[in-house]
Amino acid sequence: MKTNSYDRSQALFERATKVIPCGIYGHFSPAPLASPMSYPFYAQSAQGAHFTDIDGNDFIDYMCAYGPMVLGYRNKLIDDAVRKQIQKSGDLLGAPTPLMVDLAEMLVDMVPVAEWALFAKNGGDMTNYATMVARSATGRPKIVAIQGGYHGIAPWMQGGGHHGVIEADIADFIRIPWNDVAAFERVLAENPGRIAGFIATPYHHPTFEDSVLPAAGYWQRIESLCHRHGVVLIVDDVRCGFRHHLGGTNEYFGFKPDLICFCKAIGNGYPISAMVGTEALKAEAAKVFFTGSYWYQAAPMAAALACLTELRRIDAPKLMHEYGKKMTDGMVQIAKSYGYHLKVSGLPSMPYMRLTDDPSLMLHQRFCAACTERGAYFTSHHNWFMSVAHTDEDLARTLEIVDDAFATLARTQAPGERDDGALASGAPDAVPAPAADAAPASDAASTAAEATEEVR
Amino acid sequence: MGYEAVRARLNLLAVLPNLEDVVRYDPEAADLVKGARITIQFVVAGGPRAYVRIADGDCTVSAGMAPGARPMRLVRGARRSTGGAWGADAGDGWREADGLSEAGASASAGTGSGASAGAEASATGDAPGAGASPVASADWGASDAATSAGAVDTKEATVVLGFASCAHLNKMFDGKGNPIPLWGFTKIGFLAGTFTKLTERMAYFLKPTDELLADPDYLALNTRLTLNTAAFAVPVLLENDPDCMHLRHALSDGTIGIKVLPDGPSVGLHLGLSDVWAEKGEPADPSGLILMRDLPTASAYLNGKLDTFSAATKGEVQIWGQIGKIEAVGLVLDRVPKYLA
Repeated sequence: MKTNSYDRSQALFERATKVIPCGIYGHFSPAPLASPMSYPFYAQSAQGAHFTDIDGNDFIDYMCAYGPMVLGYRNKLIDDAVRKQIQKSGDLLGAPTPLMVDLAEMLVDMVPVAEWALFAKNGGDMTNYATMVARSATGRPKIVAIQGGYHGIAPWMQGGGHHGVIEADIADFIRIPWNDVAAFERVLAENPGRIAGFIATPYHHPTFEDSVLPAAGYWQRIESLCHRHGVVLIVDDVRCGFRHHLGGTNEYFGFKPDLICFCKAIGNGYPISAMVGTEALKAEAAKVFFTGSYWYQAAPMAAALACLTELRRIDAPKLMHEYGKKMTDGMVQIAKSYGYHLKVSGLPSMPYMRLTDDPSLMLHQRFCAACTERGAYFTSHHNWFMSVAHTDEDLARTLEIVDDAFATLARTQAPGERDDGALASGAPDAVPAPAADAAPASDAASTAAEATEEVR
Repeated sequence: MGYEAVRARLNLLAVLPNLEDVVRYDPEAADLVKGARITIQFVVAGGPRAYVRIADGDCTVSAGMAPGARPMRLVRGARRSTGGAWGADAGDGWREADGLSEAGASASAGTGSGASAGAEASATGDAPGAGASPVASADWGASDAATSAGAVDTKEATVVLGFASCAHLNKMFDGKGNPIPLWGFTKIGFLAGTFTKLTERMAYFLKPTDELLADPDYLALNTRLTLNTAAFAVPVLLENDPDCMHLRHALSDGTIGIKVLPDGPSVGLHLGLSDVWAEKGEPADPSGLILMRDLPTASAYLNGKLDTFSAATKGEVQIWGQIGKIEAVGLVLDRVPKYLA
């Protein structure tokens, strides 16, 4: 199978490093992609579930811009709504437009917990604001969060030891393990009348690790403890929101938080985030000053109205769940046919996958890199995202790529070695051999074909 | 822990072990120690211990007290008369506590109870200050290791160098202070001559200029020493630096290998639940790899002259495996210049 080359991406990156710290910074930095040389750095265009890089390589995109793309790139419905708003009325005007009220009403209608809503740009705007509302409402200083939980890039979110974070930034944030109710009870006991809020994602989806669903009764016990101790329960639904349940992922897991933060899938790529809350916190939210230069842009609100309407019309979470299940099941089968063991964690519309044959992740990194070089954009450190734009043809092609990648993987040697042998002389041989009960490689293609047929 | 105390631990446990490689790879240094047989014990009141052993043309640096040396631990509090080297009544200063032996493994440094940092005399390790009179503030209580029970070699002289404080030790490493010989006065000549020249060779290779780095041999040894220093600094900082301590939970299992391609040098960082330790050479079965393309890249990386995110993207520095742990190690390495710039 043909593999990509990235000459233009790499040349442009050289230019970038002269004028931009890191070349590409933040979560789009290719640095944690092993190896970055197997990945595109710059996109040229996108359509549906695909994007094309500046070298002309086409990718079936399973990162979906790290979540915001949910209905497909350049979705006509959404883009038309945005164009109409801009062409007829403008975007950022001298006052908010009626779309802001329409969007708040839509969220209050869709999300059972919501009795009010307000808007910003990024998920981190909302998670930070939620902690301020919690502190204001309770008059208490401390916030409990989960170890390894990601809520954005503010100092308290990054945690101690990271550059630019000082002790005072984190002094009132207590991190406890996920799924550990007893730890929360201990924190409450040790800090009587001091805990303002508990913030967590609906299920644990850290980077470099398996995702972990809530244990049976976990959220219900956390909710009960929060109520008993007057702690504001905050759900960071930035990544999960609208991919698992249109009423908020808490509905999927059967509990009621006080505040929910949304972003990512709400506007299909247009910049908007939202927070919703209960009536009891509405007056307190009004007291906490909250604003930003572009937070009243009308076009992203038009996008969000159109996006949420469409997600509801087509029951998008169900479609993404089904696609994710078929894809991950197919991949697991193909891996097995080559003697490898692919573990799927998290929910199917947002799976994290890992080859368990090598706990160091080097094998898994080589697998994801090989798939990306063949046109299925997989990262090895982060959960993937399904969208409703992924088609059966995409699925069939993805499984072909996966099959070819496993075939290549089974032939190669060192974790740092590319097919052209350009990398990592001196890297230790650490790739486990395929298991003895592996099916012959020739069976893998038929396994993939069967999986594809099942989808069709 | 205070700045001086952390820096003292870095100097003894991360910088001093470079003497081993200086003797091994620098012919001039090798000539200096030819025929020498001596153990030099460093003791810091309220701080870490380490010793240098030179024998058979080889040099080893270890944390803790030299084998055979009398167990010695200095604590603040009411003194007792020990008849030590200074034999003076130090009043309410430092005194030797009973029964502590902490010989460390050669060429290894780590956090946790097995490391030299376990011998503490105060919470901060910063006191007494360098300006205080060593005689007045320290009761070293040292005994002659060569004559104590279990001495390694009766022909091997032992010199004990005392430092009144962490700051005092750091001044010596900065070339601005002198140690207090507590034992082995007959070897003062060796200290003033050979050992001083040896440490000057180490300093020469640890303080590069652009001109020096243009010499491939210098570049190779400087990179080796800088890599060693960085690796051995990690456990010290994880245990003692207030910022790095937050990262300890992220580094609780696995092994990170750091290697300059194609042929080294290499180091390994072993991440355990209770301790973290470094070793020279390639570790077996690393769970994470940092591979630097060549010596110039490694030199730039280790001297903080490289945008590491850009370098990783361009493949100049490859990272594989448990990248979350590698990122945490990177954050620790970034703190090294705060103490050793």
